[in-house]
Amino acid sequence: MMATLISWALRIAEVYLVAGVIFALAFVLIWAGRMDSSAATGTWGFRLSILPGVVALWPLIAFKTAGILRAHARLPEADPMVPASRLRKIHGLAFGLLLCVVPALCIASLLSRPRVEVSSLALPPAVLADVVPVSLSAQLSETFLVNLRSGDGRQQVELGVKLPLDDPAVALYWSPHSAASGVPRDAVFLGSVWGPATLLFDLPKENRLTPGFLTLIALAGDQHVIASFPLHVQ
Amino acid sequence: MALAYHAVGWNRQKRIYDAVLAGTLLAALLGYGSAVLLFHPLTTPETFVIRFTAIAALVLLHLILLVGPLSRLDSRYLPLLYNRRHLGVTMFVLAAIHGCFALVQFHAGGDLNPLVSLLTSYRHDYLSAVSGIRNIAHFPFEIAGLAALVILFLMAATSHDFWLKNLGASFWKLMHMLVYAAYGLLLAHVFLGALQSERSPVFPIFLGLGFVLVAGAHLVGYAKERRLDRMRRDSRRDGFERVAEVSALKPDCGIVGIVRGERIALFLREGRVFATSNVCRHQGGPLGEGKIVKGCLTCPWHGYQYRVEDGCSPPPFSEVISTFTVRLIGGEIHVSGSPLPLGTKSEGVLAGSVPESAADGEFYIGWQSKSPTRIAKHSLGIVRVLSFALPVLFFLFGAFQNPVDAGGFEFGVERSFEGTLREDPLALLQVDGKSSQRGMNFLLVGAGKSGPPEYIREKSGLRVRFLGSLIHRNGVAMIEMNKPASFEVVGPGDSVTPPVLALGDGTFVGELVDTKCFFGVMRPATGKVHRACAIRCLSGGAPPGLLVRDDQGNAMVLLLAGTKGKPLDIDIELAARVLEIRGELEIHNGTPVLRVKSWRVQD
Repeated sequence: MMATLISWALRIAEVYLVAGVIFALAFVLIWAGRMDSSAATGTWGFRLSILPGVVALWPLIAFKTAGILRAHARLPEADPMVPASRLRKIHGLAFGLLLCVVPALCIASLLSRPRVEVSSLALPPAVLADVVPVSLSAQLSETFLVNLRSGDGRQQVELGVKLPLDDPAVALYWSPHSAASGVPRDAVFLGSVWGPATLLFDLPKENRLTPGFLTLIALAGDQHVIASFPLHVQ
Repeated sequence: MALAYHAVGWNRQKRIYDAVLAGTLLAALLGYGSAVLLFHPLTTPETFVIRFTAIAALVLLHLILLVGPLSRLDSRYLPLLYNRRHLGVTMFVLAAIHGCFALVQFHAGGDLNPLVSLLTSYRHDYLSAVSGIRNIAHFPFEIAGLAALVILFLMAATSHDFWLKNLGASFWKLMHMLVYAAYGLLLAHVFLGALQSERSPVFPIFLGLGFVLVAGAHLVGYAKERRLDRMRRDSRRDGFERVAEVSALKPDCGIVGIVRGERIALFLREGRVFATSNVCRHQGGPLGEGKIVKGCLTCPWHGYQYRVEDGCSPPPFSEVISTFTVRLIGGEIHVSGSPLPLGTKSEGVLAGSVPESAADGEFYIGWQSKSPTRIAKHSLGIVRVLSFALPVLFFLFGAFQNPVDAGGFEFGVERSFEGTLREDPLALLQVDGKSSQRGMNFLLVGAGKSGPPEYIREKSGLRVRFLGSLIHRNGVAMIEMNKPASFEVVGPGDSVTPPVLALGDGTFVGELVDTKCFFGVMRPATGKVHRACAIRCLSGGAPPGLLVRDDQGNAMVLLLAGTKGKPLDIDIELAARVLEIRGELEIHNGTPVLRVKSWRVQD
């Protein structure tokens, strides 16, 4: 409904502008000189420079042009002016309004901006009533133990699940990146841990020298924890 | 005052003015560009243009608003006022570039005319504004920018003297007072838009400082004007009002007086006192603050000239101002309450004893080839300060902006992909072990702001091959299928579907994003400034996602899908808003997918 109305309004604006362009071309070529003697000998640069204004204000200019053509005379050189004191009053009012409204609006908009970017989405561990992704780095010491071990030509991830998550199930994923371009090639399910335990998981052979991301998804009762963090393989 | 109009009435002062303007803008560009290269090298060229032109236009607007009151308070600032038109037109051009780039970046290439998109993308917020704003931060900001741009266009398009003369000085002046509305709208545009996401205090601090400067200069100027208007006025006698002491006049200098509540200009020329209107026919400049140069009173703003005897501009010019009859009674100047008919010659009145010394101070006239020394030195000082301060300021603006989103989009790079098409939970290509992308799922989208192309419909389970561009971020990859002609079915697909780990129901809180932009096509791809683009992308079929963050700011996107057998039911016009979504979490080959059961707006 709104889109339809706007589309119609834009179509009307389009017609207005097309009519404006046609009128403006005629005006700058023919009528501008009749309206203003200085325009009669105006340069092409001048004519071009007033074109956008004529397109925008063409009904007003057309009205004035029609008046001039009817009277066969140019506009008076000194048209009556609004008293300067009234103009100053309007100027003062406009600025006063700006002075009152704008600071209030700006301060209100700053105070009410949603805190999406930093921390409001991450609830602290104490209120993990629902599924909320939490930072592994923050939770590491309390919930998980993650180490990268190497030896005997093997690269392994040591994953330990500790309390306070009771009887959790943790799925571990490995998403290696191409070191050259950062383009992911693979995402591998390494395995899972059931209950408080510490297990070793082999990294896929072809990715052992590739830095990547470990993603842990933990399920405990009706709680879920998702964590993803970079792992730099030495 | 030219007889034949030119696009620009060039003279030496204007050339210097424009050269300084171009130089300072270039210095600002260098300052901003070096900061972006140093601290935010991932910034895309479009985002760079959008941000730089926005900041430059705002800085220029502050300067434009400061020039008026400053030149009233101190005549050494008059050179800044002389060619303010070029400052204004430059500012409009910068704002227009910003607007055009933003329109293309955030609204074009989608399922709606970009202008319709611009005016309808915040339908919810317009409606909530009608029914009572719950949170002002959600109020649409682009409409304020558009309105300001229209005003700035009208002002730039009618800045030529042709308009001043033919629209009438009062109408023209009133129309150009809309600059205050444009300033207010632009501040609203910035505070309700970019500053909803930008967390650095640098931007609100400088904008606040700018506002304080503009408001302060206007208030001081207003106090000066008020003092003028409250000058002592005496009762009228025979239609004359006492205006000033003759001793206040200095040869060839003007002073301002008040008659019937309106200002007039008084001049002492060759021992005679003359009174004229204080308002220049050109832009309403204060003639009483001018001087007599080459026998004519000269407006301090743009150097328009009038003879004090009859108010006419010297031939061949045709502007006329009002003159008044003057009487001298005991050293006091009395001026008639009504002006003489336009062009009537007045003899003025003999001042009697005339001060010997000429008035102090120099007088700037823009059309003269040289500035007076004192004013030229002051202008040079301003140029020096600007040439140092602007690059530093723009460097700060560049350095302290939010980090741009990560991710990559191999725009223009074609890769060949082959694998099995899947439609559940989302349209994706499952690449098998025969290629380097073994075991990977690639989400599929179309070109521009569109989702999976129509031609892959009902081909789920088939093995296909096509060319596309890769979009990738943090281990999730997506293909933009921008070469329809390259698409071909090569046979039956892999019959083994990847294992799905179902993790049960959960509730997540995060920002609704379009994953195409988030995974690398746009920077920024989140927040209110990107909202319209996200709405268009989601409307076009790009996979929606819920951007969740931990307390360290680390981000992860959960792809959103409908519950099995049902399409996703979510209001895409709530993109960039914070939603609380309840659903079933599944892991599809390492990619988290949330099957949405219910949702509500949280912010």
